[in-house]
Amino acid sequence: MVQSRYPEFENSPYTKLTGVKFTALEDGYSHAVMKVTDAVLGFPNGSVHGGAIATLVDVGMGGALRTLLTDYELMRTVQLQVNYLAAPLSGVCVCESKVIRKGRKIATVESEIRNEGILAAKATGTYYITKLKKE
Amino acid sequence: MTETSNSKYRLSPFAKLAGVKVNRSEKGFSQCVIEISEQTYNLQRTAHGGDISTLVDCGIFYAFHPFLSKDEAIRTVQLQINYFAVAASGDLVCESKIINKGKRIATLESEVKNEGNLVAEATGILYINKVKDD
Repeated sequence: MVQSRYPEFENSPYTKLTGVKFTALEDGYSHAVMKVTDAVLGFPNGSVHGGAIATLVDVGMGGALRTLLTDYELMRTVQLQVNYLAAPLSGVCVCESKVIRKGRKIATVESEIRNEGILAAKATGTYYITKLKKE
Repeated sequence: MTETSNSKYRLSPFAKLAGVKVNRSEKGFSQCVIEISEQTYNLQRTAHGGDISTLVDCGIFYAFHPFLSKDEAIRTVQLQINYFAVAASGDLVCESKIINKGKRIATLESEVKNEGNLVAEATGILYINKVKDD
């Protein structure tokens, strides 16, 4: 069940564009990775763009929360706060996200982004859950 | 991939990938635009939250960049975005302005609009560091 959601999630056009991949998705937890390639840099030969890290976080958090939702629920990002702690230059950015609390309408998710073992960013996100009408 | 129509401003590789265009970059103000397309959709076929945050990060960068001297560089320390509405078509226009410029820390504010509707509001904190000459 959860397995089948991986490709669906990576199929979001923007996720494909930025190259974020999920390596684990289970019970309110996700492990997402993004390779540091030339395309995600802030400046040529520089560090990863802040927007790329924010994207990795948004995708990772969305995946973690998705595991707790039914097929009739959708989510929207209401707030995203990212604290940037170190600048990743190469290798892989790993984002681990955990749902702290999922209410009926509001969910709070927390993420840590590591690059080569160093904590590169810490983020908190708030999501709003909407229900689709069953047809 | 959207190519920038405006070659006056240097764009980062990721900004190019996300399709960011810079209309104005002045001391303390910037206007950046992303055209919503298939490429920037999330699964619900609206603009991805990550795309909006990329636009904001670029916006605060270009609103502060004109202040910098040759031996200074900036990095984003914190970005907080409040999302109010979804946007499915048209342009996302991000206007950023400076709130406070300290010696080392600058705070900026951005508003993202889609066809006149406020889609998101954000606060960003930048750190100004000196680049050492080798």
